[in-house]
Amino acid sequence: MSAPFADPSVVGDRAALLLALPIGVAFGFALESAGLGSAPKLAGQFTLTDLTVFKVMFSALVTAMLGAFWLARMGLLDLERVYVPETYVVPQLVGGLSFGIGFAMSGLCPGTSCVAAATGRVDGGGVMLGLLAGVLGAGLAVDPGDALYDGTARGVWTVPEALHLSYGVAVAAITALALLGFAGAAWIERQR
Amino acid sequence: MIRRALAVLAGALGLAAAWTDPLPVASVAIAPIEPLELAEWIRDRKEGLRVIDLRGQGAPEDDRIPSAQPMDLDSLRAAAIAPLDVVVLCASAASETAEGAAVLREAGHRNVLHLRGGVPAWRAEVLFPALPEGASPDEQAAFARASGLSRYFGGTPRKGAPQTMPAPSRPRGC
Repeated sequence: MSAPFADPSVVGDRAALLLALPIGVAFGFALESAGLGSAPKLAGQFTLTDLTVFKVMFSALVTAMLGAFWLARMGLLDLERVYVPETYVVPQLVGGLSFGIGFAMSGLCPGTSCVAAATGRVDGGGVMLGLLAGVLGAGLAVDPGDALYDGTARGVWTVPEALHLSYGVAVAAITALALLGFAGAAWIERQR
Repeated sequence: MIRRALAVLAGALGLAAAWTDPLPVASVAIAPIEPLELAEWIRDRKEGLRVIDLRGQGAPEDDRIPSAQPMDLDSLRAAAIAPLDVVVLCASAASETAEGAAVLREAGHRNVLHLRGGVPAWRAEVLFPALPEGASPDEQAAFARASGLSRYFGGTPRKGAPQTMPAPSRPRGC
């Protein structure tokens, strides 16, 4: 039997939800341990004084990417059963811009706002409320069938496909990009 | 020191990835759809849904998914499919699905899915769903969902999971 083991169609919705709990706790623990519950640390990303967010997030991305690639190669992970979110170019650009503005203003992103709220910080709770209100508002305001939403739908669209690369070459390129980025981030932090 | 070792390890794994054979595109680029979800889409006459059976004309008529259009790759290239149609491919092999998806991608189609498990999964999960002995409440709820779809498509829900699946009666569909 190969992963993912928490597939609701295999273990049932209830078991999948139960498995999500320890995974979520581990995620929150990792974020808090990395210091990402601190708004000044997150805001430092935008003033180039503290690039912890970049380093933590890119490390997580590369770890997950290499893990998924090699586990699949070894037959331990069935990538067909791993959900790949669909691409909607314009809506995701608009969403990314809104996300970035909110991130810069509050010093928190969705995950870290949960962490901050869990540690009793009022600003974390405020960002979470804003987040939920934004999701609700967008859901009510945007019709999934309208031109803005569907006009640039690309379905499941991956980096190897977009760049006409093999999966392995894309993995290597992103890993190289990450290592260069880490070296660059360390250099920038030393200059400050 | 540990950071440097991890960076070297990541670099080595990344380089090795580039040297290995690429994974089939189908395994990362084509999202699967579950047979029951596809059955609901067909029953509900989902707008823009196109089900394409890449097994071609050779597959028996009573072994087709209702509303599925039999096509080979050439006819798929020539098919009039709107850009935003949701195309579900079913085939007898992953390589067929990957080739079909590549044809559609070249033509600019992005909403391409493949039926998880193909026609055998459709038969087992939609036409002849089975409720095992001592099923949990979740399994009973899933069986209830599948039973309605099974009857709609002319199948027979089974309790106690017999060894063989009966042949389907005349399927209903769109």
